[in-house]
Amino acid sequence: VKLRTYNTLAGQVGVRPQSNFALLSIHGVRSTGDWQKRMAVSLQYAGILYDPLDWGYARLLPIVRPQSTADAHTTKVVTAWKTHDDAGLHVIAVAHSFGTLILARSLQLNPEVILPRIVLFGSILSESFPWRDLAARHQVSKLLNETCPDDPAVRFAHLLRCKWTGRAGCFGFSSTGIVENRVYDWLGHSDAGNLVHVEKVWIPFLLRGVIPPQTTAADHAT
Amino acid sequence: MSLAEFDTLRAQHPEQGMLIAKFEDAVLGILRRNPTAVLDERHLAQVTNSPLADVELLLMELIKAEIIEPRVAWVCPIRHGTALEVRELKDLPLLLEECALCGQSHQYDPADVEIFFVPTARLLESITSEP
Repeated sequence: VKLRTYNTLAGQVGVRPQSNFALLSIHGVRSTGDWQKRMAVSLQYAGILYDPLDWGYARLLPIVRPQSTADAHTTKVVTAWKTHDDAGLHVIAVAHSFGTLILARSLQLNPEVILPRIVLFGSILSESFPWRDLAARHQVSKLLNETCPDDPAVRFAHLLRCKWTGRAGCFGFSSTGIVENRVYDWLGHSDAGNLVHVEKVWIPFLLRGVIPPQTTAADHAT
Repeated sequence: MSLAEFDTLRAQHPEQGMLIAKFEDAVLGILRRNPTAVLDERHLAQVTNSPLADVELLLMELIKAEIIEPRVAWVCPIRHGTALEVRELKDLPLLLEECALCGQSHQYDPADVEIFFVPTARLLESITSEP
């Protein structure tokens, strides 16, 4: 049987699905990440063991003390990564908004953490974030950065008191090589986490490292 | 003669008793002829005259009951044969260099993965210890 059929039936019968990738996802502030729940089934069908991380519903602290707040939550990421790495799975990640800072700090502070493929959207990281350094340490191989120039939540992220934050979610990363910046006018701050986009763009990228054609607003209307 | 492994399955799913009986006959027949045979869902559907979806579901129940176990095949997208076989999906590499069938390299694609079914050592032992 095809992998998708097997994993569908496994879910019905209560047999462990077949996975070779584990995906960590990290949500942003003032949310516990509805988008994380929406994409769970599609990921499982694709043979991806999904581990959506919940670091709580935070309002003020990430804005007042972004770096120390992010650093405090890196333990969750590292613990989850280690669990899946120990199980022999390839670990990959998706992060949104403030979650992109948590993810980036997890990599900076823990050189043993390897996430070959990463998707970021609504990122509050600085456009000059040093992905090249992380690539040189073989921690990241490919990064898909989904941006929207009109993202209202990212527009003022460069004003946060943290050297790593900025408007990469609006204008992309300046670093070349491992980074692929994609620009969408329909994206807003959180819309990339919808099912059509996840199935057409994220899953092919996360599994095969290839970046399919951009989806348009019309794709999401059908 | 019925094997204990299938009796347990029948007790758990009495509504599928007929299908399980036909299925047991077919599976045991195949394995007595060739203990290393792969249990092919399409072949089983044909010989039991049952819908493929029912057979696939029953195969999953057999995995749950540890009567059979899954194996993972990387199917060459060009020649459509098994290029690599592993016990679990996580054992597959992300890149298959110099495919044994076509000689080319293939990037991992879940669409090229097929799961097939083989008997567990326990089932084979039950079959060989039958009076």
